[in-house]
Order: sequence, then C-alpha cells, then structure tokens
Amino acid sequence: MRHAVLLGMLSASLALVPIALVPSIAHAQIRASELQTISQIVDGTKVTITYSRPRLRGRDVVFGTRAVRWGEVWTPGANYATTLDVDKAITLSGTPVPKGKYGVWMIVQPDSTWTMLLDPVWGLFHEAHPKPADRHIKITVRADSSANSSEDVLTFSFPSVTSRGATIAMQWHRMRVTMDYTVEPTLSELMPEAEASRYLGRYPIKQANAADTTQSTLIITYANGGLKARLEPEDTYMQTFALMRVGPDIFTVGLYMAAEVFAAGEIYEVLRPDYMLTFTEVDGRMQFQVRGKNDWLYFSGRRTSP
Amino acid sequence: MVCLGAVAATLPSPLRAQLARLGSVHPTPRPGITGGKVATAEMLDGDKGLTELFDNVRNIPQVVDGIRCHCGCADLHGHYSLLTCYEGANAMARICPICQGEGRVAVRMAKAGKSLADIRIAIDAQYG
Repeated sequence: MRHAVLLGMLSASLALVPIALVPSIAHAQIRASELQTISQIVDGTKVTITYSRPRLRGRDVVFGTRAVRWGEVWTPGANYATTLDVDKAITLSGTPVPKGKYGVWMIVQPDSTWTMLLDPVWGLFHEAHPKPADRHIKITVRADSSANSSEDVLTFSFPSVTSRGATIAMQWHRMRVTMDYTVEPTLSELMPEAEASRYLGRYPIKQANAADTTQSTLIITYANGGLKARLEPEDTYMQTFALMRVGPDIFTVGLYMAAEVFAAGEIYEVLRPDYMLTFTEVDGRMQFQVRGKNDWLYFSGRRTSP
Repeated sequence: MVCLGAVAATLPSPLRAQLARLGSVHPTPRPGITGGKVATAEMLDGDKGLTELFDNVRNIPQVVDGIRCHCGCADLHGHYSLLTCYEGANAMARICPICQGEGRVAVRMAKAGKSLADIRIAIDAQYG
C-alpha cells in the first residue's frame, strides 16, 4: 500500500502538469497496480467494472492487517476507487441500483457478511475511506475468506451468467466476495390468458419453399402464464418454446433449456430478429407467417382448430 | 420527429411498456423527398438481389424516409432515415443485413397497402 500512497502523491502533483502531457505520462510507465476494465452484457444491460489491480507481492495475509483493516471502508482495488458503471438499472443482491456510475467501497469484516457502498461520487482516491452516508447505496454481499484457490492479483470476474443476470466476484488472495444481480428483462414471455386465447390451436404448416414437402403442424397452447408452441413432429432444436410478444400480433421465439419448459424455467435465447411470427385473422381464421432477419418467408400456417 | 405514442396507447400495458423501453423514435418523412440518390444497379455491381431491393426502395422514398434504422447507423453524422442507408455508391444497405431487412419489410408491407405507422410497428418489433 505504501506504493499506492506514493502514487497518490504523484497523481496529485500531476494535477499541476498541463493536461496535454498527462496521457503520455499515464500510459508509458509500469504501475504496481495496473488498470483493468471488465464488462458483462446480459439482455442488453451492460455492467462495467474499472479498477486498478494490486498484487500480493509476497504478502501472506492482506485482510485484517495494516494493508486492509477490519472495519475499514475499503475500495476493492488500488489508486482511484474502483468504479461500477451500469447502463440500465439493475437489482444487485436484492437492492435496486439505478443507471449510473458509482465508486465501489466495502466495509471489511472478519465475518462472512460485508456491506458494499456504491457512491455516486466516484473518482475518490483509495485513501478517502468515505464514511457511510445517505448518498450511498448500501448492499449486503457475501464474503468467503477461505476460497479454494488464491489470486495473487485482485481480480473481478463474472463467474456465472444467466438469462436474467449474473454474479460479480471479487477475489484477492483467498478472500472472495460475491454478489448476484438481475437485469430488467427486455421482453416478457408472460401474457394474460384472455389475450392469448385468440392464438391457441393447431396450425398445419405450408413451407415457403415448394420443394420442401415436410409435413408438420405448429401447436400453440397456454401454460405458465404465456403462449407456448411446439412443432409436430417434434423439432429437437426448438422443442417447446415461448412465443414472446414484441408488437401487436407479432411474436418472436424464446428457447428454453430442455427440461425447464414446464417448470417455468429460464429462456436462454430469444430469436429476434431471426425468427418472427406475424398473425393475421382472415375470414375469421387465424393464420401466421414466419419470417427471418432478411424478411424472407420461411413458412406459414393456418389454424384448423382452436 | 414522430413517436409511436398514439398507436402504443391502444396496446395492452405490458406491450406498451416493452415498446416504451425500445425507445423507438422515427424520423418524419421530408416533404418532396425522392429516391434519386438511391444506389443504382451500376453502383451495386449488377447484384440482382440487391438491385431489386434498392429499386423497390427507390419507389417508396416517402415511406422509407419515415423509418429509423436500428442497425446503429442512425447515430452517424448526416444520417436521416432508412433511406440514407440506401443512398450513394457506398450505401450501408449494400452490406448491412439490418438495413436490408428493414427495407424488405417496408417494401413488402407498403405493397400490401399498410400504413407507415403499421410498417414502423413491424420494424420496431423485429429490429428495435
């Protein structure tokens, strides 16, 4: 940490240097704690963490020492406080975090429950150690002081990603702090039954390519609060999928993990704009067309029974 | 600039919310706009498929000029509408599948007599 203090003094002195000179100086030297930026996008929401990465440099213990004291408001990084930038609102460990950029601080404890402070005033030097204040978003996070592996360099990562969010992990030496977040879904698979009923039924399929003589039927049902569809004979790739409404009578396809469909499982991929169903009602009969990204017609169907 | 507010107001609330999140804002077609700058067959090196698409777009400038392109080019300097994607020898629609897809949707729906508002909804639903 002594190096970081010296670095802080150097940074302060650099403030007096003409701005035009700073970039070349900043980029042309070895730093004890090199900068990293890491991002994860989930359903269009981008979470970015930027931080300088301190190294152990031979230390056997970091937490609970002069380097990082118990009870200290510590930024997980070096130099200027680590930042968390979210381009849309997320829910982090159950706490809403509005779109914005935040300085990241943690109240370091010897037990497994830490408090993370997200500070809208970002850009503080690591020695600022801000006291918890009303402006901070306070989030409870999990700390494990005996992780299986050891990280010589403080490391942020996104070790798991789902359709709805991800896990952020910070590890240095054997201390691992993790927190889950969820994003606001862009599309919903849910639809009131009263609105869904007009689409239900069996639709024999007519291939757009006349040479394709495949005989199949699209069967649309209502389950788990939304429209579900499947091809008969079964399509092993599509299996049972969600019809997700994206416009009036316009739907796209949400694919499920195989075993999760009827357990209200997660959609793992949405096929927009590659697979679009547009329904129309002609002479009292519902019909649809399926088109791809380039608007080419793949196939169409006309309902024979509701 | 025109938004989908009037149309969206008639939709069920969850769908309305989805459209709102898409933040779709389409340009207003410029009075007297023509397809005169749309790339020609010669500029397209004789590519048959592209030439047909570009020719069709050239015929409906008042429609295509009222559509926002969702490929990201709408934020470029000098870009006004989907029509811009089809203009000049270096037209982005020569290579961009989103520009091409939106153009094909616009052409197909315009031929079917659909309104600009309906075309915008379909394009937002698929590419927005």
